Amino acid sequence: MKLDFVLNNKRVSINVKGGLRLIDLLREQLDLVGTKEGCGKGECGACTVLLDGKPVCSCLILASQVRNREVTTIEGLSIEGEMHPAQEAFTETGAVQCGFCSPGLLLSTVALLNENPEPSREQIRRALSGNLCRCTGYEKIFEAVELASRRINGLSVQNDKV
Amino acid sequence: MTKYKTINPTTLDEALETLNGCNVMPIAGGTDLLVKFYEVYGKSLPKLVVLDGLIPLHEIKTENDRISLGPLVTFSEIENSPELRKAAPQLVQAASVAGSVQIRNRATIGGNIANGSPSGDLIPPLYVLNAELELSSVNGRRSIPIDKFFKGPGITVLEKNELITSISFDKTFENGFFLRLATRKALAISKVSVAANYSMQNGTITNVRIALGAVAPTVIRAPRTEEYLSGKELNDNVLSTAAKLIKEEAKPISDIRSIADYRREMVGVLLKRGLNGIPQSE
Amino acid sequence: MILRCMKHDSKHKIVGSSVPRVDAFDKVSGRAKYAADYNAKGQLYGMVCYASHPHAKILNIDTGKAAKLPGVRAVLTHEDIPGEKSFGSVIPHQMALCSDKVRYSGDVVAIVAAESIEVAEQAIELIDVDYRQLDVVSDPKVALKDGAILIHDENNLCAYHKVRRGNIDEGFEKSDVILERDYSTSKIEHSYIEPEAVLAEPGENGGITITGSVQNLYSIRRAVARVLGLSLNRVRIIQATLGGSFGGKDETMSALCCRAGLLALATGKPVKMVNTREMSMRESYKRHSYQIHYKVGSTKCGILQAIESEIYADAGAYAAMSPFVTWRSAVHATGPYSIPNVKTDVYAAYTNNCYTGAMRGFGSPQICFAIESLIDELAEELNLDPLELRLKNILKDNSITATGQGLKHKVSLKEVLDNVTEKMGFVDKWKQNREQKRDTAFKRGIGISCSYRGISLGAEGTDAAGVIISIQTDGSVILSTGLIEMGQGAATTISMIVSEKLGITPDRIRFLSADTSRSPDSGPTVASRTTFMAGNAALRGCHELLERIKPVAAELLRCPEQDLLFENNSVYAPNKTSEGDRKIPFSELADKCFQKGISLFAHGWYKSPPTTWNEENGQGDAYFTYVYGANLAEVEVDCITGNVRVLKFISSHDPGQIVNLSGALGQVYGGVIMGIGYAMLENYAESEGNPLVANFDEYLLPTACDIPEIETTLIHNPDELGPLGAKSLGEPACEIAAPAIANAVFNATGMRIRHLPLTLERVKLGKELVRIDSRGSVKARGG
Ligand SMILES: Cc1cc2nc3c(=O)[nH]c(=O)nc-3n(C[C@H](O)[C@H](O)[C@H](O)COP(=O)(O)OP(=O)(O)OC[C@H]3O[C@@H](n4cnc5c(N)ncnc54)[C@H](O)[C@@H]3O)c2cc1C
Ligand code: FES
Ligand code: FES
Repeated sequence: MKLDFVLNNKRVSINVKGGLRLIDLLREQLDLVGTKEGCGKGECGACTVLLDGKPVCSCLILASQVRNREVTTIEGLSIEGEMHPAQEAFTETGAVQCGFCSPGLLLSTVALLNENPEPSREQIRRALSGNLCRCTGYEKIFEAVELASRRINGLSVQNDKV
Repeated sequence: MTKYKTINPTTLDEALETLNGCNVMPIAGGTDLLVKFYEVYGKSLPKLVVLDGLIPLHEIKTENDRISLGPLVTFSEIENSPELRKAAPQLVQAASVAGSVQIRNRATIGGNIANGSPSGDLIPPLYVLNAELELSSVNGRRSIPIDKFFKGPGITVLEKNELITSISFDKTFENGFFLRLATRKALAISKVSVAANYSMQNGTITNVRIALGAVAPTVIRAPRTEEYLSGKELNDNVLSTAAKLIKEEAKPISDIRSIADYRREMVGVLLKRGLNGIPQSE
Repeated sequence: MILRCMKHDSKHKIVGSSVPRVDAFDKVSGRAKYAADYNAKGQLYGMVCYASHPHAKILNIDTGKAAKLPGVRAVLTHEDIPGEKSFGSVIPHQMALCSDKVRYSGDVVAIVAAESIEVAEQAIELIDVDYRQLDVVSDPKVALKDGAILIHDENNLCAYHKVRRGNIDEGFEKSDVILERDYSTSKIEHSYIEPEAVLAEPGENGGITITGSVQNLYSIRRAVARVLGLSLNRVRIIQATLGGSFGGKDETMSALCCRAGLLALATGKPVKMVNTREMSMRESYKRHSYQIHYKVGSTKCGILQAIESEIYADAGAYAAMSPFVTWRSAVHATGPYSIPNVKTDVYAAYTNNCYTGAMRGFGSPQICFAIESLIDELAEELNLDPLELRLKNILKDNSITATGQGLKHKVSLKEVLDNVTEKMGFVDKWKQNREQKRDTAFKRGIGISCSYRGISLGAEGTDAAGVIISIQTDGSVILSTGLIEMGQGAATTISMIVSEKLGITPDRIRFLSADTSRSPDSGPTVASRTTFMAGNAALRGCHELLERIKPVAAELLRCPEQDLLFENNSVYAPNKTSEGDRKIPFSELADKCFQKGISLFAHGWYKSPPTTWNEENGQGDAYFTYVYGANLAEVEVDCITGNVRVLKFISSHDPGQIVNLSGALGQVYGGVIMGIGYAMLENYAESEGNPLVANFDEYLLPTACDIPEIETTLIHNPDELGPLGAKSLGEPACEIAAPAIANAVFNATGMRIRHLPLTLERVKLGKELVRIDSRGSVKARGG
């Protein structure tokens, strides 16, 4: 079956076997292994990608459901080697421990900031509640989102790293 | 890794035609189906008819005071619809507490109904809105009120070759709420939920409809409580009696999400809180 | 986030500051390679055939049909194992593939390698196993009764530890108040978000290379060598970037590595095995559930006289680390208090439940929940506030612990308790909360807890670690150690220590992921020992290197060795006269040394200070040093629905010397939230040996919406034994979260909950959720 869609800003036209899940298409066929599988049931968010800019679980979507749509994975976040401010903020604040949740959390963060560049703590919590992280206790992740938000909005960033 | 066979129709007729074959079933957001697909269907996996391409089924339409939703409208679209916020606040509240952002971006109203779970969060609001479902197949269309649609947990009147093609209801009376309890503050299935739709006239409650989720084999209405409440002034006494009545109307079981006694007790609590205007505690 | 850091020192340049993790860049860009991201050309896919019953004799295994399925390359059973059929660090009885019987539902009877996962799955369905079902033992207390069904050949006692101090009867005689209470805790899944995965590749001359999500490379290598019948030097285990472990990727990974290794050797092809979450939940070992009975005696004015305890741990089907885990429980059973008379008995029993082993806390979260609840209950009985009772009895400098060990370091318990209570005005708030009107729906509560924790392995085992430091001719440095990075930040911490010592910036240091063929066996990465052990080993390595390169630097800079300053990737001869500092780049020094034929390679080895343990009387210097911590939780209880919201958390710890501040805080936050999950949500429920939860839809972890605001205070209290004074942090934060919350719920409602987790149903009705079968019917168990 032939499948056309836009992946990380590039048109892709690919033959896919049967109706595999989007995550399998990405990881197995396209070798984009930055998208992680933690549960396969929509519960952990490790597999989060953006579909037309909105976070979705790639373990619960069939490849054929992204036909003619736009998919963004972690590999598509940095443009020409330049990291997205959210990626920088995650690195700097210590929002990454084992990092298995990080790709999914970053995509959720980017979608949030695109929609709402100055989210409150509560809005951040709500936007990230579909991404489980077992290592960090979330606190540093919230700080990272806030730092990224300030950078994106060009606000002066006091060096509030501890 | 599981591979599914899929078909991608682009028109409703094409979809209905395909569904008329054997061992096929529709997939909308896939947030119920792909979770349990393998366990339920084992080795004889049906072919999946992908509904995403049926553009008209994604629409929210308002005509006078009648709202009709395509079955592919997602929880996120409901949550963010200014029209629905006014026309069906209980539905919007339910859509916004369910699942996570990722789930709400994919989960559809049609899937929530067709899945037939007594804890499906959009169903109690649709009960109190007296929603009508339009079911279509190659043989034609029929219309059915939502409270005639469910037969038991996961069992509905939907024929194998039928699709839900529209969900319509009149604008709510001026008041409505949806409240639920779950173990976690996010990403959790309801242990118990209560939806209501009612009017207040000179301090008395009229036109009252109440529905309960996760306390019986299907979502149910609470007719005795509704009858008791209508025409009453909402004071502590009335609320307590209503809470007692509604507990008797619930027929909960115990399962991994809660205990029957607890559920029964909480139906009354949520009703009282809803009528008192206490918001969903997150 | 608020952080108060006590007495921060300025003695160090790098150590004590916040440094971004050395591996963060790869992780945020999606480039870090985790085990499931590895593929090899021509690889096959492995799959396991699980036991159909939690306890049964295996009568026959028929693999004929499966082997004939097109695409299947190998179907193996215990008969195909070239070496021993079982492995295990403490007791080598865990079956790689079961032979005579199955002992829990995660046991494996056969394995398949096939050209695709689908074919492998189909083949598994075609394997016919005849069983004769045996009665299931699911309660550890029942397992220890006479005549109980046996899980292994001998009786069901997996481990027993005791502690005896003073005279327990006299202690109770001297007591005015005696309290007896029962507590229980639930079984916990580590819930690392990355499920287990390995890629096994047959190597030259019959060896094998396994890349996987492994925590303890060396114990896994021992298991693989034993089962595959190979010498250790022919088994190479490489650690992929690890997606969390928390103590969980040890025996489970040994089993997976053995199975993938068997398939790879049998087929001569690389074999990849990736667990689904369901497989991981079913098979991987858990944190023990405990049943705990306490009896405590105190004088009227609150001086503790005696504590007697009887503790039962569910070891499940195999021993794994249970003997060590329960030993730690025994040592810590009486909490951070001076108690003259102690009698502690801890039993671990085999059952047909999922086996249990190491998990963050390692036998202490259960104990902390019970003892810290008990102390609050006693305070209530004595009409004292919980802080007052604690302050009267806590360990102080030179106190003697329950095991008879004198504490010769600075004991900071009072300080950590003060830190969490003073700012919140704990006692006043605690008193106010008790006056709340009976009929208000939403009630506030506040609670505290504290602990002491022996660091590293203690008398549990030999404790030594090595770090290899190799200076390159351009002055950059490669580090490798057998203690591993599992997300906790070890790579960064050890790099910082080396950076501090050699005066080079952390970006000049590369920390290699662990690989058994190039790093020394350093024992397990557990028990908060990494910073302490590897840090000390790194210091020794640095010292050795400095000894060798200093003479060269002194010669180049024409200054005495003792005046040399290593800083900022340079070596300075400080200005003694008027001509200004002289300096050379570190890279130049490295190159010079190389040309002179001086070795730039050092292997720092550190063996821990001695510990002692006498099994007979349960006394000894159990650990060489301890860390101290305290937590405060503030909650709001919805008394009508039983919903508990944790509003605020304050956590204070004494990590000795902080190495990486941001890493340290991350450990505290992560630990606290894991503790909150333990308190409020998590329960790996089982019924008659069958797991009742299969995935994260039923095993609930805290989400971003479930967590309170957390405030952390770290004490600066360098330990003379620690590397630059550092001790440890990750586990103490986790172990005392639950009791602080339970104590706060009591303060709010007057209701004492002695069983975890505190679900809505438990708080409202005092009942727990127990599903009896997987169909969804349940009964409520009073509790
Ligand atoms: C992590 C997670 C959390 C969740 N949380 C909640 C929650 O809080 N509350 C809640 O209510 N639900 C929740 N759900 C369940 C699920 O998301 C909803 O029930 C959702 O509405 C299902 O819609 P869907 O489009 O994804 O359905 P699908 O999975 O696509 O389909 C479900 C069933 O309906 C059938 N179907 C779909 N569309 C039609 C149609 N138009 N006509 C006929 N049949 C149709 C399919 O054949 C299938 O049998 C959760 C699910 C997950 C994975
Ligand atoms: S893997 Fe998709 S949500 Fe967990
Ligand atoms: S960093 Fe490990 S799960 Fe989030």
